[in-house]
Amino acid sequence: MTGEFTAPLQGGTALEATGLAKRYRGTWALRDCSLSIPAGRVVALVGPNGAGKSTFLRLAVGLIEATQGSVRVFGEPVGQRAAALARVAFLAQDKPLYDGFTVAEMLRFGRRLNPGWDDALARQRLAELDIPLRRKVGRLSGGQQAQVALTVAVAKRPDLLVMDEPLANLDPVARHDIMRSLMTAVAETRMTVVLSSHVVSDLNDTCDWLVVLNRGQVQVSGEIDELLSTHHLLSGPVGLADGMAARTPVISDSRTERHAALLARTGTGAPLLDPRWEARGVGLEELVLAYLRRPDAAVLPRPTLTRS
Amino acid sequence: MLWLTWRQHRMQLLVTVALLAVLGALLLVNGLGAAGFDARNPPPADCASDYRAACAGYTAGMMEWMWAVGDVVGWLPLLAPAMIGAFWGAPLLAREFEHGTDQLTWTQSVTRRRWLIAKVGGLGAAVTLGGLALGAIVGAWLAVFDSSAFPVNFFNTNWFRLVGIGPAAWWLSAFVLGVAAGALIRRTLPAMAVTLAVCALAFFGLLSAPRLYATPERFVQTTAAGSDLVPDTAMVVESYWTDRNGMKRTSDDRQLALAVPCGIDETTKAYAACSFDHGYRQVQLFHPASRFWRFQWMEAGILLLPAFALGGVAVRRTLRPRI
Repeated sequence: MTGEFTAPLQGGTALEATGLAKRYRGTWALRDCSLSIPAGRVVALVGPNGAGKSTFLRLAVGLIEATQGSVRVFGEPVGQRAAALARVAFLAQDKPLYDGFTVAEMLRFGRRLNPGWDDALARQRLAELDIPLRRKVGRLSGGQQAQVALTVAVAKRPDLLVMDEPLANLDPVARHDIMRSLMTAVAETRMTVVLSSHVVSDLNDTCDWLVVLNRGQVQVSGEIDELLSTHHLLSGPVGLADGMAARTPVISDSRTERHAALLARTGTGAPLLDPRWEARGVGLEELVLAYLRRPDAAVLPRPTLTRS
Repeated sequence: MLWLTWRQHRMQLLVTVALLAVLGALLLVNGLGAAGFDARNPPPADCASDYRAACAGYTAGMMEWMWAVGDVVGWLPLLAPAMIGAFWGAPLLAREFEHGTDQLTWTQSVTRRRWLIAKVGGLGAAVTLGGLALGAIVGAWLAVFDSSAFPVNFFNTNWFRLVGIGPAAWWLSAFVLGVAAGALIRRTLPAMAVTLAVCALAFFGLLSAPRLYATPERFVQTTAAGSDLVPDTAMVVESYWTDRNGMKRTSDDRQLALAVPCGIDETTKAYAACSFDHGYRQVQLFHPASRFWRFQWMEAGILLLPAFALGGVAVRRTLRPRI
């Protein structure tokens, strides 16, 4: 069944986890995690600290082994074969680089270790960013180091770029620059990107797929536009709230003495039969927060788990 | 991978090669000096069998040359493997884990298996070559001194770990130990400390082990005439006297028993002859020089087998990571 998924761009599955679980010394960092991410997406993996985001990403790129289940990238587990490794790039949270290497030596590292290395792309990016090739990596600023690490990852020409908290520990200007570089790279290469963050506002304009991970489990996985169009914030008289909650899945529920505000999964263009209710759209951050506060609520696309 | 290995470990490589070169130069100068002394003061032909004042002068002169570098050479068997383990072995994986660069290097298009083979295999080969070079350098230097008038005992703990395959075995096992410590402890300094400690333990623990590597041969001296038939190049395990009943006697026992008939000056030939006349026999347990290589390989095995077993566990842990 693997051949079907090898297409790097639209139409295939970039990443697929089945019953994925990871236990560290008796504590489950990730439990029964199943999801499928189409190729060509920019995926936001969000969740509170300790939700298992890093564990999930490290499993996906083959740095650690699963306790149960499996995760496949373009139909193949990563880490066993060089060809599978060549299709995935990983940018770890601290953006590790060899401090004693010069920037030029970091590029040489990438060239020596990756058959698909795009040296012209790497040099052009660094020239645009004004990062001196002869400087030691350890003497660059944090933002510059992040850019070098991103350059090494992008110049590998991966079909899937996985980034663990790429914006953590960066100042606002560097965050913006990194995000812009990333988006340029995505536009040029059409690679799939999975990036984790615990700050949802960073991801608003850049991502088109959302995965919410909470307490080691996948809570939401879906296209952002679709998620936003199927959730609404309903406000109406408190007396009718129970009836509404019985008809519609409610994610968050806040009531005052007379007034109720429900964030509900209404479905597309859900008709509000009762004129006493008022509906408005929700923002991404609002939606994520609502789900994180209700770990038992979940939205998972139906067909993903029964593919083969 | 070759470039990466060189780039990350060139400091250790260059320092090791430089130190070997310095040692080689030092021993070359010293060896040339000793050879010059030998040429100017040729030893009397029969020094080996008959010890006289001229021989004593020659021996003292050669000894002086030999011990001119004694401090440097004397520390090598302990320091060199410890440094190899701590600076070549321990950081290999521990540094990557500590700086998080394992996440960088193991997500390039090179499998972890290949990375490990290149690093551990390549550097292990370099370490082995370095150890063999040290063995060759010290061996060549000792060959200058070694003669029938001044026989060098290669079993001597000063030399045994510095000649033949001894240094290579010590260096390689220390390197593998360091790699394993780094893989299991995952932090550089503690891994280095553990490596140093284990190297020191092995050094002192195995110091007198070679005598147990085989059953020693037994030589019983019955007359004073035969002088000492255990060659100077042998490793003497034990030396004692037996009385006329075959009972083992300490030196003090013998002196007390023979004080009346033989006097008390033990160093004279007359005293020795008198001892033998009174039924005393000198027994020596020893390993002949012909066992040198056998002992070298046994020590290599004793070091390398546990090191490789530990290294195997570490490599397995690295290839199938749980953390």
